[in-house]
Amino acid sequence: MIDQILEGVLLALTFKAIAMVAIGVFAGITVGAIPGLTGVMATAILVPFSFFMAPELGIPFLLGVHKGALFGGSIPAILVNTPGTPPAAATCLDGYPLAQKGEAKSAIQMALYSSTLGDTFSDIALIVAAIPIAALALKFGPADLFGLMVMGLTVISSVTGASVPKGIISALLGLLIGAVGFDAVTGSERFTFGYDTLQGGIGLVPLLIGIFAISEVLIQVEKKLTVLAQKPAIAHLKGGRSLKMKEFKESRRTIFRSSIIGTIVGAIPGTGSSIATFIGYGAAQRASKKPEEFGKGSYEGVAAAEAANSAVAGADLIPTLTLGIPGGGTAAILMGAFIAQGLRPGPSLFEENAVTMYAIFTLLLIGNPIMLVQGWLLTGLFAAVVTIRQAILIPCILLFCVVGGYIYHNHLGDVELALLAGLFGYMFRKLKFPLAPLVIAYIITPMAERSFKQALLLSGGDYTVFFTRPISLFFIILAAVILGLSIWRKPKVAAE
Amino acid sequence: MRKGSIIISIVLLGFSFFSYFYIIPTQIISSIPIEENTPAVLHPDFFPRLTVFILAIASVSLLIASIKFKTDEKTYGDDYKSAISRVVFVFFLSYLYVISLRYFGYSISTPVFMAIIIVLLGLRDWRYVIPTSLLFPLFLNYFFWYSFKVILPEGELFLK
Repeated sequence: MIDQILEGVLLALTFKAIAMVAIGVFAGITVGAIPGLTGVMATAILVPFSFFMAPELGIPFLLGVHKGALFGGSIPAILVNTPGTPPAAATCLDGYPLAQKGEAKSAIQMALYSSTLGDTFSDIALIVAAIPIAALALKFGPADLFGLMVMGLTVISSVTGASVPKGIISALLGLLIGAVGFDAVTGSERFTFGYDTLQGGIGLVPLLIGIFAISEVLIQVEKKLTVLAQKPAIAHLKGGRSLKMKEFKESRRTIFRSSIIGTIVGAIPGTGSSIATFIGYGAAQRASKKPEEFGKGSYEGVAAAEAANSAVAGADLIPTLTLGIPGGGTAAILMGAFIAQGLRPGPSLFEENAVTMYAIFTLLLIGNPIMLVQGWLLTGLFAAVVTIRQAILIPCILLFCVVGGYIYHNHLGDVELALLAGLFGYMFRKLKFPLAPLVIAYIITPMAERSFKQALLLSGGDYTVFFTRPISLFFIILAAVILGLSIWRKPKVAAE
Repeated sequence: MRKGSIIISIVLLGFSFFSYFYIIPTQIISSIPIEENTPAVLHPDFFPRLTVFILAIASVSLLIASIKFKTDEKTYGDDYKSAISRVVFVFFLSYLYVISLRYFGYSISTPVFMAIIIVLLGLRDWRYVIPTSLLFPLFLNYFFWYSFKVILPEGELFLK
């Protein structure tokens, strides 16, 4: 094992690999800094680029994008009171008032330090937890694996979005989309409607670009023309003071607390950064010596939101890499990228690709100081992104989506598919259906179907196999409890 | 929104029935004959049927929930007509652009597409429209060629 770790570390410590992480972080911060655009979208658009690289370069590049976007979202939150990503909404509460006081620079620095520390904490948690969890999951039989997937999908469907039935419907539609193409067991054609291009299934990249990126573009297009064409007025950044050591020291406990909260929440499939951020922010306010300053320009508030938000980055990879169940939208995209690179996330990933995984872990850790340096040196440049007119940015992003869809297989049919998926995703979002369960279900369909069939074949067609094996029964009971609780809680939350 | 949820749940319920009784029987084609005594679980239509069956149940629960909880959420703002028309226009323009890529290629179609979209989104200042619609596509073209050796569509009309 030590040999594998060393080999992985050496594989990671090359100029090319570190440069790819740096490029990923830069791209992530840049897209994250665009008001209204999400890290999920940035990762979806940049997935096709990773296919041109070796797994130990392509995956860290995408992880860099993910990391960068989470911090990047804080820049417009602080400067224009518009979060670049939904999780950065809590950063607005204190970041913007600080910017109005002429302390934008120090607020962004606080966001940068807390993001880096939160992210590092969750990366360490991922590295420590991944191998034991994967080793435990290796003991699972097909029925247990199916129970685990049912539990994962139930949690994701129940927790994401405002309505439980909508989350479940989203996941079920994802399962149906995942069933398109050849059936792995019998070789039968399913839902191809006579189109040869559908025989291999609906392409991962067109679906991801459509669902996450094109739908986002269409949402942005809805804004008033005056908003789209106007140059955003930003709170003054130039000449602001740097963050004082005393201010940082006062927030150390808050950063640590939020990092723990973000890591725990992030490791639960479907919860995501937004929930972690607001829990972290609330906890910091309750524990603070100056709670009255929260919402009026508190550095602790910025630190709490950003540390919790970024701590999700590593944590949502825990279920993704060890169990094959993506923790959220970005994790689903990353899982798709892993699969496209020939690495199948799940219990056997660490057995079959240990060296690559250690290289990825090393680069995950290296990505944090890289983000710190980039954020420190290039804040002015990233802030300039906030001032670009959306009427210019939107067509550029749309063009990126088209080209990204095309380079997947050098086929325009994929771009058409991406556009259709984008329209579908747009309508889905307008009807308040969560998108993450759909994509996650689409990705895990082959595994879920295989485990389901294997379990029933081994039991001679006895359906009680899912209830007689203790592990499978545990997951199914857990799924039922979570589903029941969500159905009971959500109408109350909506009413409140 | 409540109305929207009711409509979508009815549509999904209809889709579930249509899938179960029409799409699944006609669109799952076995390349090899499946023997009669093969367990049901091995049939290629088993998993889709199960999924569609649960989809029907979920659609009914969404319908009940939508009728029961009278929360009204706004899907669009006050100027929803212009917002929707912009979305529709951008979508169809993008589709036309993809078709034009097939015939006219990337180099000709892209600047035109970019310029139209920028103007449509309210920016009428040619100092921004022309450089963006020319330089960004050019940059992407060079970037993909030099980084990944990818040739973007050249257009059937220009291919010999």
